Amino acid sequence: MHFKTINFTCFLLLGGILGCASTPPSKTLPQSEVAVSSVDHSNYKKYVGNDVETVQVKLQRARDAAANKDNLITEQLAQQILLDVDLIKLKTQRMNAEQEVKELEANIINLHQELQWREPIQLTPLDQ
Amino acid sequence: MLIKFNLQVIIFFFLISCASAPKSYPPLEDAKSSLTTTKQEQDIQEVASVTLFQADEYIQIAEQALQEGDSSTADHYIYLSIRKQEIAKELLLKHQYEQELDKLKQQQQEMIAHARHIESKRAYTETQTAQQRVKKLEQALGQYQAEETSRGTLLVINDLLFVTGGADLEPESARRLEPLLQYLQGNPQREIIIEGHTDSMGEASKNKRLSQQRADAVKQYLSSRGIVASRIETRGFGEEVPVATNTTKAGRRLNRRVEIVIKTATQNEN
Repeated sequence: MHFKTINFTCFLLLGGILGCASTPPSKTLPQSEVAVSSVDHSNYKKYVGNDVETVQVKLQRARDAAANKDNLITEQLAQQILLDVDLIKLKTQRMNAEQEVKELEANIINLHQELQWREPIQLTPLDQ
Repeated sequence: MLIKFNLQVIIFFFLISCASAPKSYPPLEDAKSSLTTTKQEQDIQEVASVTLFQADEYIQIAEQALQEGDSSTADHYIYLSIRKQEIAKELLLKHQYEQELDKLKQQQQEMIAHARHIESKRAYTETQTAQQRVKKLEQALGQYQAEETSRGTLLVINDLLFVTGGADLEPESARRLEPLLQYLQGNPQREIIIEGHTDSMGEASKNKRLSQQRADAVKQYLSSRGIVASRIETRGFGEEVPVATNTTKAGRRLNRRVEIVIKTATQNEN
């Protein structure tokens, strides 16, 4: 009887320890939900539409994992989503800057030609 | 006893060799290799040092996880590390484009300022030139008797010489028409009316015909010097519009004249 009580206590303690060690529900998932919704916009889809779709699929996988109480997978996917969204935003900003550079270069070429037509000799300092 | 000891030694070395040579994990090796390459990119430390530091940390956590035999966690951190490396590269590219943009904007500003300078210089030069031309033309037209009328500027040329009784211009009359010619060449938008007048000597109908022929002769001369004929209209009034008495020689001389009306810009449009 005494031996059984000790075993039961040990079982309870072990269960408690294991319970404490398991992953708690993801705190990052709500953040990743917000992050994904922030890139669900034509500004981002214009340049990196595929990336937006991929991250939306990943978010759904995270939601499914959360529904199945697979907290570790949910948290990992949520963490990945945050970085995926950061990358989407940066890629878009970079592409916008790239586009702006191209347009400005074209404007400058036009302006340059116009100035050459007006007074070619005076363009020399700007050509340097 | 000796056999037992040897066995222990073999087991010990076996365990040591297992511990010192962990299995290579290609995804981790790839991530480490790409991190090394990324770190070598010019200016990246300046722009994305924190991001690269985090990428490094994720690699270390992945290594730790692999040592504990948890490849799933290792894969997760390898993914995060690669993402951080990509973010670092994007930060660098964005920085480079922004720098380029600043440079181009400055260049554009300089060019616009330069264009304005050229434009103002050109405008100043054109104004100066126009003023000089006007002055010159005023001087030239000053040789004629001029009057501003509702029809335009009226120039009276009394001493224009024609072959007696005919409508052919005497050669020296060309010199007299030179200022008018210059004016018309310098003002291609301006149109004129040439009006011929005679004194009352002879038949009125003949005088009228003669005055028209003389006006036409002036037109023909101007056209031969490059003035488009459509800019010139001619009229012959004969003796109908005298400006002085026809009873004296001096009066008749004044009546024998060619008048040029320089139309105003508004009249031209009409």
